[in-house]
Amino acid sequence: MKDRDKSERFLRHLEPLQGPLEAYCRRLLHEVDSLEDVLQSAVANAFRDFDQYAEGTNFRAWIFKHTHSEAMNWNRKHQRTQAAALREDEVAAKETWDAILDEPLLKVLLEAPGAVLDHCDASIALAVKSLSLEDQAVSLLHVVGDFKYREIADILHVPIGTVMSRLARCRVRLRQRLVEYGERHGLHRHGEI
Amino acid sequence: MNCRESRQHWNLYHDSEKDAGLHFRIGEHLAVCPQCAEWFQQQSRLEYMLVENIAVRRPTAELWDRVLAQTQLLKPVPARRWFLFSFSGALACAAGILIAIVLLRHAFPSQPISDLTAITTTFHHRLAGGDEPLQFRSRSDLEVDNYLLWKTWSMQLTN
Repeated sequence: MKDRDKSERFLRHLEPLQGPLEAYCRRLLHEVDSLEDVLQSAVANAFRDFDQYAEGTNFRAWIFKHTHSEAMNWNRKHQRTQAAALREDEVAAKETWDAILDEPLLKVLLEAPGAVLDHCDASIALAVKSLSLEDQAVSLLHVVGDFKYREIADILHVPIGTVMSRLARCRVRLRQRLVEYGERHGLHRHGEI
Repeated sequence: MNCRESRQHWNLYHDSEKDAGLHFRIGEHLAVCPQCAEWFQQQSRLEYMLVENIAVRRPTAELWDRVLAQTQLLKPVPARRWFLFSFSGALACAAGILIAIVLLRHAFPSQPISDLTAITTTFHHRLAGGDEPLQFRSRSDLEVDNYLLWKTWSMQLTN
C-alpha cells in the first residue's frame, strides 16, 4: 500500500514533465537511440530516491538533476569527440555578447528571423549539438526546462556567474550559426542592409 | 545607462534575472532610445522563435509507456499486448468456426436436420392446439432423460 502510494505520488509529479525531460535528453544525448535507456535509468533512480524528496519543494529541478546526471554519464560512457564543437580558445575569443552586435548579417537576421528559422530546424539542432556538453546543458535547461539561472546553477553544481556566461555564449553561438546558415542558403534579404 | 551598457545586459533583461534596479535602469534607457528599444524587441523575438524551435515538449506516449513499465511504475506493456492478442485470437477463432459451418452446410446440405425441424415444429403446433395427447409430464430432469432414452431405444427397436 505504501509502495503504491509512493508510485502514484511520483507519477503525479512526473507526468507533466515527461515532454520537457524527453526533449532535454533528445537534444543532449550524443546517440538518440539511447534515449529510452537513459530515461529509464533516470526515472528508476529518481523513484528509488523519491523518499528523500521533500513534498512541496522543486520536483522539476530534482527530476531534471537526475536526468541530467544520467544523460551526462551515458555521454561519457559512450564518449565521442564532437567534430563540430568549438575549441576553447575560439569560444573565449567570441564569448562576449558585443562580439557580434555590429555584424551586418545579424542585423538582417534580426529584422526577418522567420526567413531563416523556417528553413533550418535540423541546422538549429546541429548548432545546439555543436556546443560543448556543459554549454548544451545550460542552454537546454534554460530553454527546455524553463529554469532560472539559480536553479540551473543548483542542478549543475556551478556558480551562477558560470551559468550566465555560458548562456550568453550559447546565444552568440546559435546566432552565428543562423547567420552562417542564412548566408549559405541565400535566405537573408541583403538589399535591406 | 548608455546604449552599449544596456545591450550588454540584454540577456538578464530578457530572462528577468538579476536585480530590479538593473531592469529599471534599462527600462529608463529604452524609454528614451528608440534604436535600443527596437534592438531589444528584435533580440527577444529571435530568442522566442529559437526557443519555440528547440523546445519540442510533447512527450511520446509509447516511449513513456515502455519507460514506466520497465521501471515497474506502470503495468507492463506486454500484459496489455497479451490481452489484445488473446481477444483478437478469440475473435479470429469464432470467425473461423462460423466460416467452417457455412462451408460445411454448403458442402453437405442437411436435409435430415431440416426434416427433423419440420416434424418438431408440426408436433409442437399440434400439441399446443390440443390435437396431440400429452405423453409424458415431469419436473425431474432425470425422469425426462430416462423417458427420452426409453423413447429412442423403442424407436430404434421398432425400426
